Amino acid sequence: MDVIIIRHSLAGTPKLLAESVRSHVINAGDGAHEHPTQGLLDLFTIREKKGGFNGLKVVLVGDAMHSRVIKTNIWGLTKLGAEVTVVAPPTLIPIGLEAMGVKVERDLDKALVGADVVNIMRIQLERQTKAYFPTLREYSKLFGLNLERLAKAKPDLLVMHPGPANLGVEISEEVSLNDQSAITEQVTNGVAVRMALLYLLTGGGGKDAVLH
Amino acid sequence: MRYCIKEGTIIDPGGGYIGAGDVLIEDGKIVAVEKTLNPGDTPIVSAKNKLVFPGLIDLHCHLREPGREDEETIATGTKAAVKGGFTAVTAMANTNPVADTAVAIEYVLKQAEMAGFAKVYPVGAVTKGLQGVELAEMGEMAAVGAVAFSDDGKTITNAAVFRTALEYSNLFGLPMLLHEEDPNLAGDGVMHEGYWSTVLGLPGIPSLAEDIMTARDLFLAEFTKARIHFCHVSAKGSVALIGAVNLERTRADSSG
Repeated sequence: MDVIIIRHSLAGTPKLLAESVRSHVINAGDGAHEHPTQGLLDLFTIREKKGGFNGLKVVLVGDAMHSRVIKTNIWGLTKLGAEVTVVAPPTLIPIGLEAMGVKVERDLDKALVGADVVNIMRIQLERQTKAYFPTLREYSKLFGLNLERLAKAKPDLLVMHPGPANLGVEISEEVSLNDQSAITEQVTNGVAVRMALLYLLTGGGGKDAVLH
Repeated sequence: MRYCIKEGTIIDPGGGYIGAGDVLIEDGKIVAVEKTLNPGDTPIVSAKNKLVFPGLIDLHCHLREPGREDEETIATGTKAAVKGGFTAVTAMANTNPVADTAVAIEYVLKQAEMAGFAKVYPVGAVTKGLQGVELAEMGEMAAVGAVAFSDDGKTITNAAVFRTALEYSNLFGLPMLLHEEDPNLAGDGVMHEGYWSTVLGLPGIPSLAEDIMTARDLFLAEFTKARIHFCHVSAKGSVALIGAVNLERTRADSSG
């Protein structure tokens, strides 16, 4: 076996697997831990649209407590020199998040001032029943990206979402279809990034190109 | 049987002595301790580069018998204890069936005696089946040798039940050993809630889960004048609270 691609609900499972087999292991998302290929495709999309990361103002909106995509984005973006702000209700901000090198903000409008990129996380519908916030309606009002909010931000603000989106909750349908939205390009880039990863891991591009 | 432990470093907290010395033992009793003993043809146990100290007591053991003999038995647990220098251990009550009756306490004592390793001090349950609802027969258990009471493994979340349990325990003067963890706050956590649980994406247990129950039980103990002991304290807040209350009591004792 050359490559194993694993998605698992328990954080750390891909690491455990990677330590036990000789095959390459690609983490396709483990619990609330990380989602590296999503992170790579998000970075790829940002670079494609914005040219680079240094000093880029990126806002990540959503459930930082349970979202592996947010954490993977934080690692990648901060490493590449972007200024990252996370916006979410305080109930969905885990302890110690700021120590990962980000700013935490409660007011989405304030965070969007001067922002170059906003990456919006899917809100898991069951969070409401666990009392992290009262209703999806209120979440949407405080933390959802709609045209009205978008109009107040920079005209070239890049809008991203890892999908699938709850339209009308964390992002309005109009915003998702707007010219500033890179959501469909993210999907396209996802295919390319994952193909590249498989190609490199299986020895494509010569010996020196193999990732370890 | 006679033997001599030679050339060890003796640590004797009771006698306040730390230093070199030899110990002569006869029929399980220490008969002589000197800087150097000349035991003649008595068998010698060399303790060179080793520490010689009184038998330790482990206040918090789970011997798992009856019910989980696949994990541990009274014989294996006590054998491991003496191997590690512990000559006495407690046995927590969260076995299956729970040690919530005199018969169960007698069973633990009997098994320990038959195994013949460490001495076992059985702990009886506070509530029947560790359910946190009805009191277990503390008096019956105390009469046959229970040394303390505990629902360890669980917290008695109903404060009214626990208040009653503390008041009732005063009849026997035996301490309550407390497992402090609010189950709602702890949730399905698997590690301390903090930076590392965030980075690892694992559900955390906040220190609050321990702090809050510790605070509640300090109030309850103060009110009921019952004897309590906090097991496995791990949070800064709990340590500070217990320290503050102890200090207050010491002051009250010395002024009164």
